[in-house]
Amino acid sequence: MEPQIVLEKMQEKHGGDYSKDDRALEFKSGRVSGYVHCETEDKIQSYLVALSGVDLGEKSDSSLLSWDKDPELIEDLKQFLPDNPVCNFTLRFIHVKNKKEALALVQRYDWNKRRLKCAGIIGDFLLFSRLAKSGSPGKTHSREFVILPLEGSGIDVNDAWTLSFDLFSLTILSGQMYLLYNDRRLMFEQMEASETSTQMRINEIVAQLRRPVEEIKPGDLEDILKEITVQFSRLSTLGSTMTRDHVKIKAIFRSLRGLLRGLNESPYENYMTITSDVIEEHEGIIVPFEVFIGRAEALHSQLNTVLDSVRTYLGIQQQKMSIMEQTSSREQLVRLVNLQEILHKLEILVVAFYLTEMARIVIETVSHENAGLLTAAFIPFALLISILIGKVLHKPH
Amino acid sequence: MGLTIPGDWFVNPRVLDEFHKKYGGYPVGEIRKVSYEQGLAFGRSIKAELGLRGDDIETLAIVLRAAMRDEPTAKIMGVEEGRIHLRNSGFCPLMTACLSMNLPWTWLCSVLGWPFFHGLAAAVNPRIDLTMTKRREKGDPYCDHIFEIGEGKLIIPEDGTSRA
Repeated sequence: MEPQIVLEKMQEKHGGDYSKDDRALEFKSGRVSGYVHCETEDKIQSYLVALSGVDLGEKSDSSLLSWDKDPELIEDLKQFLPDNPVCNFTLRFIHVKNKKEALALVQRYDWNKRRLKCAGIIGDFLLFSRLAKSGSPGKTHSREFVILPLEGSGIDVNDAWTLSFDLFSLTILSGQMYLLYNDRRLMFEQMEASETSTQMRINEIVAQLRRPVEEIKPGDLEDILKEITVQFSRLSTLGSTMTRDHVKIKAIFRSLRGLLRGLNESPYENYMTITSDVIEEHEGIIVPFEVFIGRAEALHSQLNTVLDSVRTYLGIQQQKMSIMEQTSSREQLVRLVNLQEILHKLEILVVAFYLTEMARIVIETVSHENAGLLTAAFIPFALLISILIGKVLHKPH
Repeated sequence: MGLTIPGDWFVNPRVLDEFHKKYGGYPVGEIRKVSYEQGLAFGRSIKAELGLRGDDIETLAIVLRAAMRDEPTAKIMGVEEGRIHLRNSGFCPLMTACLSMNLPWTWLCSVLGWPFFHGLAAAVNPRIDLTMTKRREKGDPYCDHIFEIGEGKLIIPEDGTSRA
């Protein structure tokens, strides 16, 4: 429901007037004065609902009995507000006569097992606070404040409003952080299982790569590369989303710390200060973001190692192939040289045969009777001439 | 204009965002039907490619292995006593898209993931039931798909629903 409609519905039921900017409604219901203010930022609605049962200048009842249950009017107003808010801060301003009474009230509150964890002094107020419910999944993150005027000096209305709006700003920042955390909660939860499964797959791939070279087919490597690319792309998508949100949550946390610093809180007795408690709590919700990014980076680097192994493997295979190619071409060359030598020898024989045949024709013409003998005697000369011709023809240039 | 499911949704999370924007308000049953048909067609093409004729669980295991060849997050954990146990863990495409783009995880699984697998199984035998015994979108560490011969239903136990 839009904030304007929320205010309209409240006005319908309780009457009252809008403030100048229409973001706030003031009303009176019986003896109770009410004020509702809304802020909207990045589609996040935040409401400050203030109720007071006393008129200005009048002192309130300091009874603690009413602390444990909300007055009827609060329950009524809650109906108009969004269900299951991410964050809910409750501020209770209590008037006390003196510091002794204040401490007695606080002690009684502690005995009720609603331990007030931290305390501090802000301006003229003594504040006690506790985390009522942590922002576990689907649940509202709630914090309670009990605010007492110091030294029983009475509540200064302007100071009370200033403090209320400061704590309202703190609620908004805290809500923004818890909203980011809740949005990413499933990612944090799924990281463990996804990491284990990816780790197992990486181990399987590494084992596959350890097999003898002959057993790995080029198709296997192609499949591994395809798989790693898919894993890389998904891991990068999740990692970049988480990094973006981590940057966002850190920025909100910086604003939250700045706001707390601005409150200039002083410690009260041995209590932990509210500033430290709130900072510690919110640091805790940033940690899962950092853990996720760290784990994603670790997986990224492992996948890179697998990729390097595949590359190295391919390099070795290429080297082997080139050595094999070199060996094969050397053998081919030797075969060619041998063939050439054989051809040379054949060439000598062919030329010698040709010369002998020529000589035989000449000898038969000159001396027919001794032709066979003379031709046979010419053969060594024919061979010699043939060798000489071969040498002249194959002389290197 | 008819409903179309992007063919590359399992490698490109961006298309799932567009798909949700386009069909987020569409009747769920109709999207499931198209998704089922897509799985059925894919299963039939695998059967034809591998020359498979059987209609038993073992044949489905072969089809599933072939279909999941390029998907590193899905693994058949066991084929025994007439049932197949397929587990999806790691960085599954639907989970990656939903978590990184704040898409409704349950909606996407129920309209794309489960009907697709159911259709794939129906290509082998239309009487095969698919039961989702574990679901990551509910917070389980992995998704367990159990395939067994039954009445051809898609059973989501925690929802208490079963769809023919």
